[in-house]
Amino acid sequence: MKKRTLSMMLTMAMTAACLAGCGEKAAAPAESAEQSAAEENQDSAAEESAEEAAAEGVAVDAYAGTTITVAVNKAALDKGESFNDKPIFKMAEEATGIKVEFIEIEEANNGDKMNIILASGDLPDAFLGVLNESQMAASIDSFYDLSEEGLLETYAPNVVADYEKMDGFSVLTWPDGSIRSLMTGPQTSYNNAADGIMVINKAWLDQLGLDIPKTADEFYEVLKAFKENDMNGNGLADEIPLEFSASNWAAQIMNLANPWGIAGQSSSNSDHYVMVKDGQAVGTLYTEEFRAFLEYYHKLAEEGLIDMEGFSQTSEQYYAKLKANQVGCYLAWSPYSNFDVETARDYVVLKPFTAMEGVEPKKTGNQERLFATRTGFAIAADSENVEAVLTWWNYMSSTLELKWIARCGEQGNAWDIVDGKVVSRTPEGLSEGFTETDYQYTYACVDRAPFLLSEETMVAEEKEDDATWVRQCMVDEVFDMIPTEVIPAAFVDPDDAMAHSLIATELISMADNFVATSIADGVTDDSWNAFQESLVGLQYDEWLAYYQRILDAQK
Amino acid sequence: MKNKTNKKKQSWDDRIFTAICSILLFCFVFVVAYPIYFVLVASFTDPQYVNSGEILLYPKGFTLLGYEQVFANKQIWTGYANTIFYTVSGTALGTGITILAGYALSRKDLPGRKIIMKLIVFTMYFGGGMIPFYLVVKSLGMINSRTVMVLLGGVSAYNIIVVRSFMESSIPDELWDAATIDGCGDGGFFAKIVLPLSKAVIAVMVLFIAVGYWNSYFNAMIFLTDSDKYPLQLVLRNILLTASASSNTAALTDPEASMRLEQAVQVIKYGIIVVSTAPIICVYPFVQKYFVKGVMIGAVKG
Repeated sequence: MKKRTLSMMLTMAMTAACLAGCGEKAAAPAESAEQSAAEENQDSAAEESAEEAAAEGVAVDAYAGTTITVAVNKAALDKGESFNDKPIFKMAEEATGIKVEFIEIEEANNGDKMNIILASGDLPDAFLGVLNESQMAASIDSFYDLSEEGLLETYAPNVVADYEKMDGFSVLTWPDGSIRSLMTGPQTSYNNAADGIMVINKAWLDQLGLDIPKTADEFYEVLKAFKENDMNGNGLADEIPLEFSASNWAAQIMNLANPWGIAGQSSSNSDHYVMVKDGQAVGTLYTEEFRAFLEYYHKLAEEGLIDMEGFSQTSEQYYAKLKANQVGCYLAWSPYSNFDVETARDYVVLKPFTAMEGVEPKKTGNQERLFATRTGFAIAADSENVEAVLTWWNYMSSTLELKWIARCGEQGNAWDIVDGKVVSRTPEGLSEGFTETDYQYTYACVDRAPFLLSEETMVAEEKEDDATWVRQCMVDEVFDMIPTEVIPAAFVDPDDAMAHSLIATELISMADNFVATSIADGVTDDSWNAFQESLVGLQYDEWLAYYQRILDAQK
Repeated sequence: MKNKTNKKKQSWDDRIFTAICSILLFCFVFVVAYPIYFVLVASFTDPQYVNSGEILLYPKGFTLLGYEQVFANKQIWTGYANTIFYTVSGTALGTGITILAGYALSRKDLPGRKIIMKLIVFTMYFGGGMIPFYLVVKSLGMINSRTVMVLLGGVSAYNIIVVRSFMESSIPDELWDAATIDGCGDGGFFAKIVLPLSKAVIAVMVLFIAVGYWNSYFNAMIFLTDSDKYPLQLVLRNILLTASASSNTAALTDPEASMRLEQAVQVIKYGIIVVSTAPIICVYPFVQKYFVKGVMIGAVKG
């Protein structure tokens, strides 16, 4: 009996403790909203854009009183209560008179939930940031064909004006000639032109009196010196001269093939298995450079100069190793994201070095990568409010100010315009638990906001130890090494895409495995030949031909 | 004294057998208990040490930051309140229906008993599928409502069979005869005789159903859009999944955001697991004997 009473009391105490915790703390975002500061600016921006829209197409408030439903992707960092609280949507409602009911779908559940909504056929009027290309391809008839003559010109003239400046319609057109979506996010992002960039611990180099390596041999000597000289001075031989991680988007192993002239359009391994040379999609896995890359890193692996746990460790373990001051060289977005300022200053960019005679080193990335999401904003085919939805979207795309309010929140808080250029500002009310990034997701839509042309994107201001500025400087150093010939962004026939991904499933994992085993165990003529045969068997040529078709279609 | 005599009687081979059993059992307990202990220790440890695999038995770099953030997270607490609401009301409703259905089906004088039973069993093997299910719920106007969270998952065919088997074997027909002779009707018999005799199976049902509600997230994920109505497990899933998903995809568009997410989740991860499982772990030891009973009742006879 006593036991039972005790258990009851324990449970009740737990519950009471839980409930007691509910109230106070989570108010940070609400408190940090300094609403008043930029209100005047916004009002004038709203008026300007209203006039502009009225001049070019239908009146901005032509559909006042209409209610539309919009399924929207709610980011994990968004601490806001409702999308209707975001300044841009308040302004849009005020200007257009269109009321929006948002169906908010959490980022984590987005895939599952959208599949069900699409399959059930019960669709909202519009979709904002919730669709990916394969979902759109699978239910293409569920989305309104915006290529209808005069539709966009009448109801979304500002969007049309932007697209005409950068050939936007060609990237949005499906092989059947239809246009099913509009873009969100910026056209390009300079800081994203290169993905993970190799950095090296300059403090360690200085300690050893060594220069930044420029050839594969020098690189090997530097790594060896890092390994043998207890660089972190803890008395243990725990230095990891070269670190990578298969589970980290920016630090995958194939990025290390850059010195051999192998560079992908993004950091993912599979992107490194195809390159464009003279308008042709070329398979890198056939090349001697690829074999030389494997042999070089096998030598490093044998001597313990590269961390072989990289193939299996989690992203968290990878970051933990960085923080433990063990790593000499790794692939970073920016060291300032991985270390405190003092330590981050020690790391400098290590450009892809020369590894083979006659082979020009390249850097993974894409100078002109279309950074916008092509399926960002779509309208349901059976929507009765197509014109109203377009008018609403057009309003938010009508001025630079409105686009940026949609992207980053109120003017003067997270961003501002100085001499006609958009620059970053630090909003007030931030804390350790509520950073600038949280602010942007809470008070704006970031990449779910209307399309921004390259010239409208933010310009980083020179500021010591500022993450954006540092990243820009890093990209500056390697930008010229990024291949200029790339596979263009384009919608492909859904059947073709399906066949391509079926081939990829087995092919890519076989190639990834070969890379891992070759670095661990070495490459012999036998294993190399067997690999080449497997490539043929697993339709590598067909996989490459898919990219060739995209290239040919663009011509 | 008694133990002493027992000990004397044990032969050497018995002792070896006991020793081997004890060692095996200890190993088994260790395998089961250590991960739980590890989570507890990790929740008080600086995430850096957890990720570098430096903790084994006790916290290193002791920190309460994880708990501070859990307690500051409003969603977790609304999730907690929602889960408690769904569990309590769902369990009450589910148990009531299950017991009533099980009892009715155990009575041999119920017309169409066999057909009803077959229809119930049919649902264990064949379902309409996710999309029709979604459409039914939608046409009933229950999308994004708390009602759907309480109704779904309350009654299962398996539980009805368990209750029916229990009643068939432990409430003999003679009891009903005797009760009717004394002037007892159906309602009276159920309330005054069947229920008091079925305490064990009721306890089992309460437990089965309550644990089911406590752990469920899928229905909430599909049917709820308003985060104020989310149960705890869905909140938990969102927090943990977003970070891992973002390290692959979102990172390509916004690395700063993904880094920020990873940091936030690392700190909070273990604390959140402790907070969300603690109530069940506290209650479990006192009721686990019913689980065993439930398995015994349900087994074979279905």
